[in-house]
Amino acid sequence: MYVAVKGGEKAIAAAHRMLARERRGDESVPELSLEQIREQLSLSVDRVMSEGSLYDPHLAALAVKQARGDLMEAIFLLRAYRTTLPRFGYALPVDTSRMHIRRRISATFKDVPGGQILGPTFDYTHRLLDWDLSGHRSAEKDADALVSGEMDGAVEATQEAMPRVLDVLGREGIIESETSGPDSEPGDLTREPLTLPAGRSMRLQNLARADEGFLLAMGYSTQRGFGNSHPFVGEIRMGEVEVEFTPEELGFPVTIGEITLTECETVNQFIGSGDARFTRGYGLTFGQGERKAMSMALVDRSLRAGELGEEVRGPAQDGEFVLYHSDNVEASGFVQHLKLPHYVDFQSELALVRGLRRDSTDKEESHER
Amino acid sequence: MLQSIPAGFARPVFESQSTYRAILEAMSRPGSIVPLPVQGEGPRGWSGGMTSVVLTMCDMDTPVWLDGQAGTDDAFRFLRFHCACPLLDAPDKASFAIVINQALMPSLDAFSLGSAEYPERSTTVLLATDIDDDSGETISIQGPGVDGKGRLPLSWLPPKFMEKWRDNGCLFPRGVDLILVGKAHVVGLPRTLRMGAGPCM
Amino acid sequence: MNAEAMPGYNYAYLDEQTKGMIRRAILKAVAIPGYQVPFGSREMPLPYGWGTGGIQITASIIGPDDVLKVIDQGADDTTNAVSIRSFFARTAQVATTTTTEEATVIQTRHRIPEAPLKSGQILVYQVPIPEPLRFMEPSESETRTMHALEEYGVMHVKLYEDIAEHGRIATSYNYPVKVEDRYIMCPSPIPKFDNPKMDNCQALQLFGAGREKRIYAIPPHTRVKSLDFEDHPFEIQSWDEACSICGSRKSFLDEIITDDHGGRMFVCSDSDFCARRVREQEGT
Repeated sequence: MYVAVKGGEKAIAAAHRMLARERRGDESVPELSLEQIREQLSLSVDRVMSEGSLYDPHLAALAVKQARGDLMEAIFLLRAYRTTLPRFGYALPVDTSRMHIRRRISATFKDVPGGQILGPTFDYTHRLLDWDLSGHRSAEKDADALVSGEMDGAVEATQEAMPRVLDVLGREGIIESETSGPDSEPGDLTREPLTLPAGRSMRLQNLARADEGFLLAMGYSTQRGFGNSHPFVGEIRMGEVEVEFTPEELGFPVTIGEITLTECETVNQFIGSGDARFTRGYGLTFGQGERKAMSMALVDRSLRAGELGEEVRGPAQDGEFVLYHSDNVEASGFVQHLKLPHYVDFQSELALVRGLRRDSTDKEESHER
Repeated sequence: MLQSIPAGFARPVFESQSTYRAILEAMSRPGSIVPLPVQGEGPRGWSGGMTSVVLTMCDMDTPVWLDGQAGTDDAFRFLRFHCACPLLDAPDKASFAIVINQALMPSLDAFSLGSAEYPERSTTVLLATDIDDDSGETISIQGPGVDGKGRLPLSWLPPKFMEKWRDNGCLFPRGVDLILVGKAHVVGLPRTLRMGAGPCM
Repeated sequence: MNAEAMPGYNYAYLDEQTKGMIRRAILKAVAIPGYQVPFGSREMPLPYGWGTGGIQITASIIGPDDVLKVIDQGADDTTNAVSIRSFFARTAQVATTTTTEEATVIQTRHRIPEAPLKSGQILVYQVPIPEPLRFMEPSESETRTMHALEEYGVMHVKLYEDIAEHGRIATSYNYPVKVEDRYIMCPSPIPKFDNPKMDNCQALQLFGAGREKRIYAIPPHTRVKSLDFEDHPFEIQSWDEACSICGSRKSFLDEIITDDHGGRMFVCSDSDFCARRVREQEGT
C-alpha cells in the first residue's frame, strides 16, 4: 500500500542538521572567524557586499561563512536581510574625485595629474601557485610584507584629492558631459519594479547589483563583435570615499562613514563629426571589484546604443535582455526551482502525450480497416 | 505653540492589517457593507473610519490630495507625521484623494486615470459617506465581485454621479476606483462596477 | 500578540512600508481583474521561483486571526509547502491547518483544492511566469502593448496551430483564460483540470509572481473562460483509473511508479480531499 510522502518536516530538519555539519567540516581544524574571512577573503566579502547591495563587511563575512563559501548563496543571504531594513533617508552622492586613492590607472594617457598608482592588484603577478601560502608562512616573511606595506601606505597617505581623467577631457569638451538626463531624480530598483525602456539611473542600479559573471560575458561579447563601442579605459580608481547624510533635524550634511569603492570610466566611440565627441561608459562597485566595474562600464555603454542611434545587433545592447537576466538571485532561484515537485503539470503532460499517441494509433487502425 | 497630533492607530502593525482586510473585502465584493475593525484617532472633521483607511493606505510613496474640507492644517500635520505622504494641490497626480464633503467632489476625470499600459496608476478616491443612511432610491449594480445583481442606495453617492460613473466605466481598463468610507464601515466601488442601465455603449 | 515575532524582524517578516506597497498593488489588481500590476517585489528569505510572490502577498494580508493552509502539488506535506507553512507559523504566529474548509488563507502552487472554496476565503497562487503571451512574444514592452490594445491574435494563432498539428489544443497545464471578457491571463501552471474552478469562484483569488514582480487577481463571482474554439471546445483531463486510496473518480490523480516493470498506481493529488474521503468511508 502506498503511503503518501509524510514527514517532510522531519526530512527538512535532518537536512539542515547535515548542512550545518558539512559547513563546519572536520572539527579538528580550527573554525573560521568572521575577522579571518573579512581580512583574508576580502574580495569575496567585497563581491558579496556589491551584489548584495549592502555595505557591511562584517555581515558579508558572516554570509560567506554561513554559505560555505558559495558567494551567490551569500549574496542571497545579504539581500534577504537588507530588504527588511528600514530606510532612514538618502545619502548625498559620493564624490569620487575626493577619493583617498589606493589604486588608480589610466589606459588613455601615459601620465595624468596625480600619477598612475598600481596599488594592490593581481595585474603583473605571475600566476604561479605560491607554496609559501600553503603551509605555515615564516614569521619573518609576514613581518617583511607588513613593513613594506606600511611604507606603501605612507606614500599613499600623501595623496590629495585627484581629479578624474575624464573630467580633464570634459573640460576640453571632447567627451560628452555626464548629465542626469530626463530621469534627473534617480529611481530605486529595490523599491519599484523595473519598467521599460529603463532610464540610465535604473540601468546602472541594475548593473551594479548584477552578477559579475553575467556582466563579464556580456561585456566580452561586445568586444567580439556582438555590438561594438570601441572602449578605452579612461580611468580605474579604487579607494575610500566619505558618505555624507543630511539629517532632517540638522539641515546640513554630516559624514556618517567611509566606504571603499572601485570606479571605472571608459571613453567610447565618438558621435557627431564637426562637434565630434567621445561617449562614456560607467561602472562602480563596493570594495575592490575591478573586473566587475570594467564589465559594467562596457555594458552600460552598449545599453546606450538605442539612444545614441546605433544599430542594436547584440544581446548586450538589448536592455530588456540584459536587465531582466542580470540578477543572480533571481536567476539562481528560478533555475533551481526546477527541482521542486512538478508532479501535477507533468501528469497533465503525460496524459496529453499518451492521448496524442492513442489518437494516432486509432487513426492508423481505422485506416487499415 | 506646540499642537498635539492625534495618535492614529494604537497598534499600527495589527490595526492596519485588519483594516486592510476590510478594504480588500469591500473592493472584492463591491456594494457590500464591510465593517471596519478599528476607528483610528485622527484630525478633527475626519471620521474614525476615514482615519483608519488613510493610515492603512497612505505612506511616503503615495501622493495625496484632499478636498477643501478634509485639508485642514490639522489634517496636513497629521498626514505629514503619520504617513509622510506628499501632499498635492491638484488631484490629477494623486494616488489617493480624500473627499470629506461630497459637494466638493471633483469630476472623476479630474483625477489620475492611469494609462492603457499601466491602468493601475489611477487615483483611488476615499469618499466620506453616511453609510447608515440607506433610505430612498437604490440602483442595481453588477460586475466582478457581485453575485448576480446587487443594489446600492443613491444616498451614498454625490449628486448626478451615475453619468460620471458610466463615463469612468467606458474608459476601462483606465479609470478611478472609489472607496466609500463611513464612520465604521467601507463599501468598495471598483471601476468595473456597473450601475443602473449597464455597460457603456 | 508581539509585533516582533522573530527577533530583529517585523511581524510577518516584511516591513510595514513594503506591506503597504503590496496591499495597494493587490487592490488595483482586484479593480482590474486579470491585469498584471507591477510591484516592487522584495528579496525574500526563500529563493525566487520557490513562491516568493505568493509569500509576499500572504505576508501582506495575513493577521493573527487567520488560519493558513499551504499546498504544493495539491498536498500539504510536500517539502516546500511544509517550509512555507513553518515560515508563517514562525514569523506571523498564525494557526495553520491542512483542512481546506478551515482555512481563511490558502497559499498554493500548481493546484486548486478539490473542495469548493467559500466566500471569505482567499486563495494565493505562486506564479513563476505571469505573462500568458511570453512564449509567443518574449519582449515585455510588446506584450504590455498587446494587453493594452487587447490584441490577442498571437494567442489564437498558437492555439489554432496546435489544432492543425495535433488535432486538439496541446496545452495541458497553464492553459490560458480570459477574465471578464477582457484580459487574457495565465492561471499559474495549474492543470487545465482546475481551470473551471476559477470561474464564478466564491473566494478571492490572488496571484503573485515575485521574480517577475507582478500581482494579479480574480475577484469572487468573476467570469473566467478557458480559451477555445467552437469546433474544439475546452475540455478537462480524465482518468480511466480511480484513486487507489479513496476510490475517487472525480479528483486530479498523481501517477506513482511502483516498480520498474511498468507497475503504477494513481492517487489523489489533493491530500486533504483524499484523507477526508477515507475518514468518511471509515465512518469516523
